[in-house]
Order: sequence, then C-alpha cells, then structure tokens
Amino acid sequence: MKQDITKGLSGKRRAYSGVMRGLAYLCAGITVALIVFVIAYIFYRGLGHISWEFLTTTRSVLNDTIGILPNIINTLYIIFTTLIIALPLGIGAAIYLNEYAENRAFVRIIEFATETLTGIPSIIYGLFGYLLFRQGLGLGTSILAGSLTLVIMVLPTVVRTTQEALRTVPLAYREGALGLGATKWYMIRTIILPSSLDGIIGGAILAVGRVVGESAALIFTAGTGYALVTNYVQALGTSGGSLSVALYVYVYEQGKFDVGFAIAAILVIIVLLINFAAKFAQKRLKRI
Amino acid sequence: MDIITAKNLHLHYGTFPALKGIDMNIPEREITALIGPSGCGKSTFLKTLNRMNDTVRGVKITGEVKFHDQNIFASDVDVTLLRKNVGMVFQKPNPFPMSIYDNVAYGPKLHGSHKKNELNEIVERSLRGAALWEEVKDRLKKSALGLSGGQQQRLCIARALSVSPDVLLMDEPTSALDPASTMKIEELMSELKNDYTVVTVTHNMQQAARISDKTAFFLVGELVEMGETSDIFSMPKDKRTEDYITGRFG
Amino acid sequence: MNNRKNFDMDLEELSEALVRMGAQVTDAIDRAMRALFTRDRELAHEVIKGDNLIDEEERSIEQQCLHLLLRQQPVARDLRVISTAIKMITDIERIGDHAADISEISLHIERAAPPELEKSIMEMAKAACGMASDAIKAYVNEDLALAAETCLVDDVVDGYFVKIREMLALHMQTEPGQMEEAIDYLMVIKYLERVGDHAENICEWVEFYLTGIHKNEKIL
Repeated sequence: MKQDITKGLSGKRRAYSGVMRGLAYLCAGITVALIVFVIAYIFYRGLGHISWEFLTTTRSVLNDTIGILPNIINTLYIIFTTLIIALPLGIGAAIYLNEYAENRAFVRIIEFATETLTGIPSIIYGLFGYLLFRQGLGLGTSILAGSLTLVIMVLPTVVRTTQEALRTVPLAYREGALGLGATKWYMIRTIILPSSLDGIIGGAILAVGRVVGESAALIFTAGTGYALVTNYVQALGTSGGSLSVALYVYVYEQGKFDVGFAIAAILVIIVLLINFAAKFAQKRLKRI
Repeated sequence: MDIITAKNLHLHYGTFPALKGIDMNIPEREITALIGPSGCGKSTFLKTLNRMNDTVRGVKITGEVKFHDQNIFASDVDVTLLRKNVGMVFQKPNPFPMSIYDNVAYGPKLHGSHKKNELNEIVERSLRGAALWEEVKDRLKKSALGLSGGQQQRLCIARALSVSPDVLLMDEPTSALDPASTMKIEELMSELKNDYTVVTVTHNMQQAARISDKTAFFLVGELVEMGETSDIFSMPKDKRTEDYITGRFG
Repeated sequence: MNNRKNFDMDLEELSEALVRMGAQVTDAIDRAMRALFTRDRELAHEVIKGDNLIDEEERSIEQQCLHLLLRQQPVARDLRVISTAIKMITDIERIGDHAADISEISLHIERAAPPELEKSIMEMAKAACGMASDAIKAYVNEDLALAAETCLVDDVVDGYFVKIREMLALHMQTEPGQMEEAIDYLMVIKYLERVGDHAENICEWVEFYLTGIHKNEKIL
C-alpha cells in the first residue's frame, strides 16, 4: 500500500506546535533581554562614577569624599574567611554523607535540613549570627562574626553541590580503586575528590556569589565600618562593611544613588571575574 | 594444584539467597569460565573471591573460601592484600580519569612503591603484559580516556597486573567490546594463563568454549556442574547444563 | 526462545530429510532386487536413474548441516546430531550406489537363477535392507538398543554371503556354462554384504550421537 507522507499533521496541530515554539523563543528572549538590560543599566549609571580615587581611598567625612577601598578589602576578607571555614567543613560533611554514612534515615534528615536551610531568608541568619557570635560568643561587630554567620548560610550550598559532584563519580571508578586494594579514604582522596573537583568548584563559586551579594546578614554582624585595616588578623576583630553593605548604606541612609550604582557595577564586575576565573581553573584541572 | 577452594559458600542479599552452598576448586594457571543465565549468582561468586561485595549493604556470607589455604573471611585477613593478590577486571572498561601512566602506577603507589625507576619499570612490564605497550609507549602521559574501548580494557588489565596478583577475576571483560577487541582480549587471556590464574564470567558460550580450560555452570545460586570445558560443551552430565548451553533457556 | 524454536524446527526438518533419504535407498535396493529376479530391464534403468535423486538428497542434507553449523554453532547434543547426519549420509548414499550397481549387473543377466539360490539371495537382500532401515530408525528414535541389535544382524548378512558364495562355487563346478551369471551373482551378494557394512556404520554413528563414543573411543 502506498503511504502518503506529505500531510501528516492537521493544520490545527501544526499551528499549535508553531505557537508553542514561538512562546518558548519569546520566554528565552525576555530572559536574556532582562539580564542584558539590568547589567547595561547598572554599567550606564555606575561606570561614570568610578574613578581611581574612588577605588583607592577611604571615605572621609571631613573632606566629604567617598572611597570604597576598605569595602573592597573587607569583601575579600569576608570571602576568604568564609570559604576557608565553609569549604573544608562542607566538603567534609558531604564526603561523610555520601561515602561513609550507613544510616540512610539519618542522611535523609540531614539532607532535608540542608535543603530547608538554603531556603531561609538571609536576614534570619543575620539575626542568629547577631545573637550567637556577636553577643553569645562576644565577638562583637566584626568581620569574624560576619564571616561565621555567612559560613552557616553557605554551608548547605557547599554540602549539597559537593554531594551532587560526589554522586556523579561513576561507580566504575570506585570499583576500580577498591578492586586494586585501595582503602576507602585512599580511594576518596585519589579518585573521587579529583574527579568531582569540577562540581566542588562550582559550589564554591555559588558560595562566593552569595557572600559577595549578601548584605542583610552582614549588617547585623560585620557592621558597616569603613576604616581601612590592612592587617588581616586585626581586621577579623574589627567592624567592616562589605561592598554590598556599603551600597545599602550609601543608598538607603545617604540617598547617594550614583555611589550605589558605581558599587553595583564593581560588584557585577567582580562576580563576572570570579566566574571566568573558576571556569578557567576548571579547564586547567580537567586537562587530564 | 587448586589456588582457590570454596566450601559450602552461602551468600544472602538481605533475605535473598544469591549463592546456595557453592563447592568449587579453581585450578592454578588455568582459565575457569563461569557461565549461567542472568541472576544465577556467577558474578556474585566472582566478586566474593576478592571480597568485592563486602561493602554491599545487607550481605551475609557463610561457609569458606580459601586462597592458598587461608580463609579469606578470617578476621585477620587484610582485604587490601587479598585484592592485591586477587585482582579484578570489570565488565565496562573503567580507566581512571588520569594519564595512562598514572592509571598503571596507581596500584603500585597504593601498595607503597614510589621510586620513579621502579614505577617506570612496573608500568612498562604491566603494559607489555597486557599487550598494550607498543600502542601507548609514546603517549603514556596522555589521558587514558582517549584510548579506544578495547585499549581501555587492556589498560585495565595492565592496571590489575601492576600489583603482581596471582589471580585475575574478570567480570564479562569483553561484553562491551567489538569483535576485534574481543579477539585481542581473548588472545591475551590465553597468554595470561601462563603466569596467572584467570576466572572469568561470560555470557558468551562460544567464548567460554574457545578460551577456558574449566567451565562451571551456575543456576539460581547453585553450582550445577563444573568440569573440563570440552566435556561441558560436548557431554554435560546435567540436563540443565545441556538445556542452557544449547539455548533452551536463559 | 525464538531462535531455539527455529533451530529445533530445522533439526526436525533434517531428521525428516534423513528418513526420506533412508526410505529412498531401501526402496532402491528393493526394486533393484526385483528387477534382478524378474529381469525387468526398465525397472533396472529406473533404479540407476534414481540414484541421481539420492545423490541430490545427500547434497541437500549436507548443505543443511553445514548451514546449521555455521549459523547455530551448535554444542553438545546439537553438535552431535548434526555431525552424525553428515557422516551418516555418506553411508546412506553408498547404499544407494550399491542399488544402482546391482541394477547395472541385472542388465547383463539373461537367465533365471536356480530357485534355492534366488531364495537365499532374496533373504540376504531382505536382511541387509532391514539393517539399513533399522539403522535409520535407530537414529530417528534415538534408540541405542536398536542400533546395537542392528549391528549384530551384520553377522547374519555375512553368514548369507559365505553360504551363497559356496552355493555359487558349487554351481560353477556343476554348470560351467553359467560361469558368467554365477560371477554376476557373486558381485550382487558382495554389494549386499557392503550394504550391511554401511548399515553397521550408520549404527555406529547413532551410538556416537547418543553417547559421544564412536567405536569404543570417546571422540566428543
């Protein structure tokens, strides 16, 4: 029998299919347009106010000049302090949950808890950090108190992304290592961690993103200090506002929208740089 | 001489009996093929020989398996050493995501060899042993993942040889390979038996008939029959063996 | 399993073909003997021509077997059933040849043989023919006992051969004028004796098929 293959779909179904395709394109287009618009607008409003002086001086009330160097450095301090605590802790926890934990129910409870924690508004972390670190442990308003608060905040992210990464390591690799007589830890150290580095770095980037963008949790804990402290150890004990916090302070308390947009532009640039750097690092590590 | 002997070996996954009282003697420097339909316990038995299913949740093992007259389930047995002596090659080639050299050097490093010369020598010897040296000697530092499937499997064999085992367990080592690569692995297996004892699981009757000296037929967790391969494939004693090898079930 | 089903059907077909070929040759011997004693030249010609058909059947069975070996790569019993078929058809075909040979001879014979000689030769033909058909029956029915019995019948056939040869020798002495016919009959009984031998061979292959042992030696 001769089959006609020229008129398969009815006109109606064809039209429906076409409309749905158009809608999908439209959604994608709107998304891209929004992102481009936001970034472009921030740069348009902000870039003009960035000057060498703006980046390399401190704020002076007497001279009525504004410089964000301390905020940049505070941000770096906070990123560094947060990661150096959160990464080992989070990765370690993920390794435990994925590789060692025997009690499935216990693991599920922890996983549920971390999932829930990622959904909690950051202001609540701020409140918690305020009570625990600033008052409870007597750390005062300090970069350490702020960083510790952020550690709690990003820990679930680090744990979850690391777990995802560990899960993607094929069973075959594990069998290969164990079959040669490797102990569990030797296998984790030599096979599993290296091959899940990708995902772990991805998690670290997400964490950095949250740290850079955080203000609510930091205002309560690390404060809004704008003095330049070059000694890291000393800085840990000092109040210091990050860029995001500074943005909030300038815009909300002083109504300086131009400064706000300038800081926003710098934040966008930093986030982009971190992303590129991480991608580059992943490629370098992946070469083998 | 039997290098491995299993006596009344029972293995349960939870309440499911996967092996029901296996008695088997595996002769030294011969190829023993384990055949049987899926789920008959042959792979489970193979993995038990170097305790690879120790880690599986809910596994309970009774009976004994002796390797060189030592019970491998004894409490003073070091699993690391057992696996060094009883190596394993898996169904799907599973080279580590590192260089060819590092793949082969992984085992020796794990067992404590770190001297450069020593490692170089082991890597070359193992790759030669797996008939891969000529093909990869100029690209040892390249990723193992760039090799073809057949080469990857020979690399895995080299990796297993690197720690100088006595026994090589192979779990359907050619089922993921094309016919040409399969042929190479089979040739290699025939060569390996000069120095090693090989135990292989295969679904390929012809392969078992071609390469093995002894054949053991498993069915629902029992060892139905084991004997000279030429006897099993010409005059099996058990009707179930005959029905299986002639394709009447499984 | 589907493939196994097809394979079983092919084996069934093979066994039917062997039965058919067996029937062809026993029938050929039968008719050759009839042509011999009734001096029916036409029938003799038919038997001679018929041998081609038997040869063709052998070819076709041979092909079937080789194809099965190629496509199924049989083991165990399957391997034996097919290799037995390959070996058997050679013997069956030779029996067919002997039928044609006997018919060739019958074309030369002009006179009827003395009745007691004819009777003995007929009995011998019956025994040899019976061996051939029993041998094939033993194969088809996987009947080891029948195969063993049939082998024993060869002694009977050989006995007939010795007895008839003596009769012929005596006949040659008393009737030197019929020397040529006597020699022809001698050849006929030699062929019949060979039919018995081939039947015995077939039985031995049946034993191999069922036990893997051929002439007291395990060959598979």
